[in-house]
Amino acid sequence: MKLIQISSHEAKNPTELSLRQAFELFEPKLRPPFALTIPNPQEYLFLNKAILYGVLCETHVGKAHMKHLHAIVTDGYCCFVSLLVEVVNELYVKLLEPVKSRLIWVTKELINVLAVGVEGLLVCLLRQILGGDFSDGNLWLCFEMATIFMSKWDYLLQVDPMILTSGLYTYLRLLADHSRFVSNPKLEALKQLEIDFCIKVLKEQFPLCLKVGRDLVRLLQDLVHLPKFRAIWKDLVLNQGEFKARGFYGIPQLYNTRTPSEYMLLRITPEMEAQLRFLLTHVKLGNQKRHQAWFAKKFLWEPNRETLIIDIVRFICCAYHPTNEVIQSDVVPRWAVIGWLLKSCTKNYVEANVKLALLYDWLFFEERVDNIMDIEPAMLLMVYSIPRYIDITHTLLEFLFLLMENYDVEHYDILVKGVSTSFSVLVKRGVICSLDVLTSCDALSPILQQARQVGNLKSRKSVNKLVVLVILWATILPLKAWLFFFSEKSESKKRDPVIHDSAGMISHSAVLWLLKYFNGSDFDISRNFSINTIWDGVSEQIGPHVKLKGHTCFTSPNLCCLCVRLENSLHMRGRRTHC
Amino acid sequence: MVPLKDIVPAAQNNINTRFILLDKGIVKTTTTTLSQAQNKTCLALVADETAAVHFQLWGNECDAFESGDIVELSNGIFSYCRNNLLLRAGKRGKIEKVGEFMMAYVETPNLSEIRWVPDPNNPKKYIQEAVISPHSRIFPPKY
Repeated sequence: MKLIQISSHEAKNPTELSLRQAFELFEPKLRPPFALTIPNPQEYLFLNKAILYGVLCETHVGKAHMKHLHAIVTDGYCCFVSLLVEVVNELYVKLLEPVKSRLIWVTKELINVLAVGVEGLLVCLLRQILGGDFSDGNLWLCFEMATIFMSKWDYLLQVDPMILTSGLYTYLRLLADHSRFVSNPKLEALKQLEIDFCIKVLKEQFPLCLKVGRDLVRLLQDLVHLPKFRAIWKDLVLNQGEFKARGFYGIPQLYNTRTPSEYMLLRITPEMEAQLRFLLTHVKLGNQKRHQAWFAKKFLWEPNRETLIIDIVRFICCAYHPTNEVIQSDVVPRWAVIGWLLKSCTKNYVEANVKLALLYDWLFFEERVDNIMDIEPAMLLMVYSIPRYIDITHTLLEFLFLLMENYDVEHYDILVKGVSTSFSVLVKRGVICSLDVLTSCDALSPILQQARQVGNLKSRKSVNKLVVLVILWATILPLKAWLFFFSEKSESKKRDPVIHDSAGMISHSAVLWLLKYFNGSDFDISRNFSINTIWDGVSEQIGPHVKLKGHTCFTSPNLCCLCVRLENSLHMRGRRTHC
Repeated sequence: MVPLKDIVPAAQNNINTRFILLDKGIVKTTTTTLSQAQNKTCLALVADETAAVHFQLWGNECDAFESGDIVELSNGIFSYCRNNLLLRAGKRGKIEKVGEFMMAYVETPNLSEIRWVPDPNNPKKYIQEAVISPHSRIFPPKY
């Protein structure tokens, strides 16, 4: 009868030990007939520990233990739940397989009785699901948790409705990974369950979803290639009334809400969190390499784990804010760790998403609601990379302007305001002395100039319309096509500077390829535009001499990723004045 | 629990300490002269916040510990083994993994890279005479 797997030369685990000792001490009392005496607080705690150990280890008498618990409970199961939380946080990875199944069973039982704090237990279990891990054990936990959310829906609404948004955040993020590998048949049923759950939360509990804030948009955009999410997305843009949320005025409302840091924690296991916190509070700058290597070996080396970096960067920016003491010490700063993580990306779509994660709060920054610590790492990374890693500064600045121009062209004004507020607040609050450090750098002047030009472009509105059209048509391109398209490009031109930097370009022939693709398919193209009408419209307006080039940041196809930029904008402005 | 900087070579199994394993060398098979029994050994670089030292893993310890593990040594011995000054559990001591990652460390001084001489005032005790190398010469600083 064992709870955990302990390898040779491993010290006894104090949590496991205290539960086992309680069980051994109380074992005679755990068999019927149960004592009718009321235990004192000390005994009550031990009895809870003993029952917990029994429930998890003694499969055959689990129900009897549970009845015993129901009989003795005097605190709404608070003590029992907090012991379980401890077990999940500290022992989950080491638990034996049958114990994990028992754990899920006990959790369901506790939901049935609306145990105090059971929502916290669910959060802990969600955090044990590893992003990018396609092992059987991990997919099993995904499935079990999604099943709990679906089957215990009404109970959960009574316990704490916000737990549904924690599930939503988790599964939206997991779906981005799970839908990237379409070839895995094992995943299909799970994927369907995850989709059903997310759609149910979005459709039935949208007012709650609003509290998730701007990261909800970030996650949803990574899923627009799935038909059900495309429909949600369309409603978000065009049909806000669908959501039955009083006062909901559209996507800007989400942009204006800073996502609470608890959501960032959901995609980081407690062990990862502890290690990252240790790295960022105790390890000295210049001495961090071994710790980084250990972290990477444990959490990032397995195939497909790389997407975890996106969540880690969100965690570092928004959930780990060092104290002033730490900031002033010689401890490795957040920007340095993020620089290392960014350099560890081997896949373009991961790198683009990591940059988006790093710069996301810049786009919507408002001094009143936002925290300067969320945007500080990106700024310092840009500044401190100038001497030796100018390519990082370059790629981040370029990406920032690319996002500002193209992340959401319908709300270009919000993004421009967000980015310019970010810069001015960072200077005002002394994170950097002035922007001279960027503007005086010769190597950066081309991007900065370009950004200024785009900002000055007077016919911006008409350009945007075209961009929107192209985006609308690009978002319905299935993922497979994109992957094919990108893999072909990145293999042939690995060292090409254009491919290598933040954005790749869709060439003229690629546009033609896309057109061919659509003409051969029977997709319902949004708003009944046929691709030819769009194309005719585009070429008519820009004229035959202007090449249409798209920039994409290699994420899955979504609004942000197809950052279409019309090159030759000056030329276009010239033509328009003629007209 | 004694910090590594305070350990002194002695023929006694009385060192209780805690450190993080930084690096492992290759596992070697050695033959004990007396019993002709074969055994595995593996040299490792270990450290805490105060100092580093070479540690000898023995037998199945060689495979049970990885770089990044936090290890607790009880009743260990710091002494010369074939001219190398090493910390090890020895027959009477033991080592246990108590954690991972969450320990800061320094790579200098390395107590195995210090020349020790008997204390003129107390010949039973060793004192530090000179630094042979600030870092481990077997595991030179990697980064």
